[in-house]
Amino acid sequence: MKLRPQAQWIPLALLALCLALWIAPGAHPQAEKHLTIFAPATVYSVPLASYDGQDYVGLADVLEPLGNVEARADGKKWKLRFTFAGGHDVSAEFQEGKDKGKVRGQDVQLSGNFHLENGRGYVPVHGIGTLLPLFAGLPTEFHDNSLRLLLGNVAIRLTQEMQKGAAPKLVLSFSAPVNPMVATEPGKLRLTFRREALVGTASENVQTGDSTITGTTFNDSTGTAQITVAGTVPLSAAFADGGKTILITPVPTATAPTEAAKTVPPVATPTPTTPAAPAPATPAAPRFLVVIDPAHGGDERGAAITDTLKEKDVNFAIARRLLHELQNRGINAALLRTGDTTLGLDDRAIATNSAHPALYICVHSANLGTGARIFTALMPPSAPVTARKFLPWSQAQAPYLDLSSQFAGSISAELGNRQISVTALPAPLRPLRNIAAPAIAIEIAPPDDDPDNINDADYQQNIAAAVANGIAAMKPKLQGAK
Amino acid sequence: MIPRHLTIMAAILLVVAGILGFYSFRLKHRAERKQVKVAADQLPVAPPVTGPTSAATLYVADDHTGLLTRTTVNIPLPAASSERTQQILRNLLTLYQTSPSPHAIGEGADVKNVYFVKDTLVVVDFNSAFAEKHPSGILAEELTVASIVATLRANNPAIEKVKFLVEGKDRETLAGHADLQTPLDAANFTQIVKDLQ
Repeated sequence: MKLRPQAQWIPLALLALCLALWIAPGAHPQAEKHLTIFAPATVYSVPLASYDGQDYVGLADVLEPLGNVEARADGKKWKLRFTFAGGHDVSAEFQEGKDKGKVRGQDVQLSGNFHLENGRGYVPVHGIGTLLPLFAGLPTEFHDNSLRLLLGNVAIRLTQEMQKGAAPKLVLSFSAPVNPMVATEPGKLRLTFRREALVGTASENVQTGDSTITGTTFNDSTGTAQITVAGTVPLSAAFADGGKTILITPVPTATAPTEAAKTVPPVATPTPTTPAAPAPATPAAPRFLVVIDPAHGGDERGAAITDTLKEKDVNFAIARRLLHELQNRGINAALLRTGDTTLGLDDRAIATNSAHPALYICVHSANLGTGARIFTALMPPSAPVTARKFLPWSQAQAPYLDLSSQFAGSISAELGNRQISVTALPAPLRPLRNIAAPAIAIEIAPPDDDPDNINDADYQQNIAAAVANGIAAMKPKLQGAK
Repeated sequence: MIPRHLTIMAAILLVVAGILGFYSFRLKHRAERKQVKVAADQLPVAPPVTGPTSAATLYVADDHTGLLTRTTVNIPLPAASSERTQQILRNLLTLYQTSPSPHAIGEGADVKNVYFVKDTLVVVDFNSAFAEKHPSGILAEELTVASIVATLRANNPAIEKVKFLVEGKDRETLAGHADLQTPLDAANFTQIVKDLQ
């Protein structure tokens, strides 16, 4: 069959259209690339997008954990109002396709064109180091290669000293206490700093000149700082000086492990040993960290509050409000997920247990009933742990059940004071039973019969404030017990 | 220039395709209507046993109050403990699927099998509708689990642990919240039942 001359162009035109759509500039999500932000009160990471081969980051995503963000798209313009957790307001305006914007009424130059997609504004990640101080009012240090952004004076510096002799010792001194994950393998000891803004020394590969502890390597290319100590014999790490010093020494041969590889769990409480350097030892203040877990996320939608409202989104909104309320009360808090990412139940428990929080609170929402429900793990309590020891995974919560119930009671009382109906119950709920710290889950229901009202800002704020008050009321009690 | 007979043929084919499309659309709708009717018919409404009735205790969840209510029903029950337990649970699930329902569960939810292990551990195998269509939420799921465990325990105090299976397989959670992986300790639910009454 022969096509008409005009019709002969149709397949070619379709092919050209497909090609044009394929190569058209647009955001291609890069799941493997993240910007890690170390702020004074929290550490979080934000996924990057790619426009025209350049890395971009959602400005609201970066700012949301730091304060309250109100952003709206107005045609090609994108207006943002940011209230920092400390109090001050910042207004900004950007325009799709332009490399200039306004922050606090002043012109700012971006390193690439601003992009607007689905109501979210994206700025080039390479200019974030100069842009963010305008919002946060804090000095910023941006590590381009490792995609780490240090906000405020959070950088931890490292100095190292090799003490040679019959008992060689490598002394790693940090400018602030650290709590890395320690792993050993033949010929290497690896320290991984997930939550500390450790910055490298001028020389990233150091040769010690010793025959047993031969050298160190600093690497932060994946957004996580890592120090690898090389040795010709098995090495061990011990903490001193309130966590500001790590001593690397050869393992005595009589007790040297013979396994091919061995991994030790993260060290939580630094073991008191004799400080290697005669630095004045200052007792570390008891740490009171609240880990907030916005339940579900990513592929896991959770309950359908309405046809359009997903539980994962409501959980995240309430969790962010709770984070700000806690920070406003001077309580350290961190979100377990900082974006719409999928996290397994075991992963949530592992991340929480590694952080050794004073409280783990999992935020849920539902359309059944009204008010709030607070849940503790359904299991028989056991005696509190008096020494560091391994706990059965499925029973890790048992020693902390009494404290969990006290937190639940304190929060219930605060919610009751605000005329919010509340019920406290035990529930067979994961990952509560796997958390080795006081742990509760809160399920927020709408204030009335209309499920859409669960998204009411005043209602969410009221609940977040009540929960934060309940947690704050427990702080002196918990620290007194310590 | 396309020959005239080809143009006519293409037009006829288009018309036939349109008619077939409309016909298949009608068929699909008819099949869907039929399916809904079948699903309603498949409710485990009446216990398929006859004979003298026995008293069984049900702990019935109520979504409006968020509480459990203890009720006694007289139903024909087989003598064997597995079948007996299955019938009691079927009555409970039927209650939840009969309008007006006190507590929402998955439409078409049913108990496929009940197995006893050493008299103290009971394994209850549900069909996929029980889990796949169950409303998601901590309280919603806890009410279902608590009502089942409490009902089992009330009718057989020897039961210490209850394991939920779905289509014969292990399942992490009921609908995203209630933990079904580990066998549930029936004694632990005694306090929940008290709190929820």
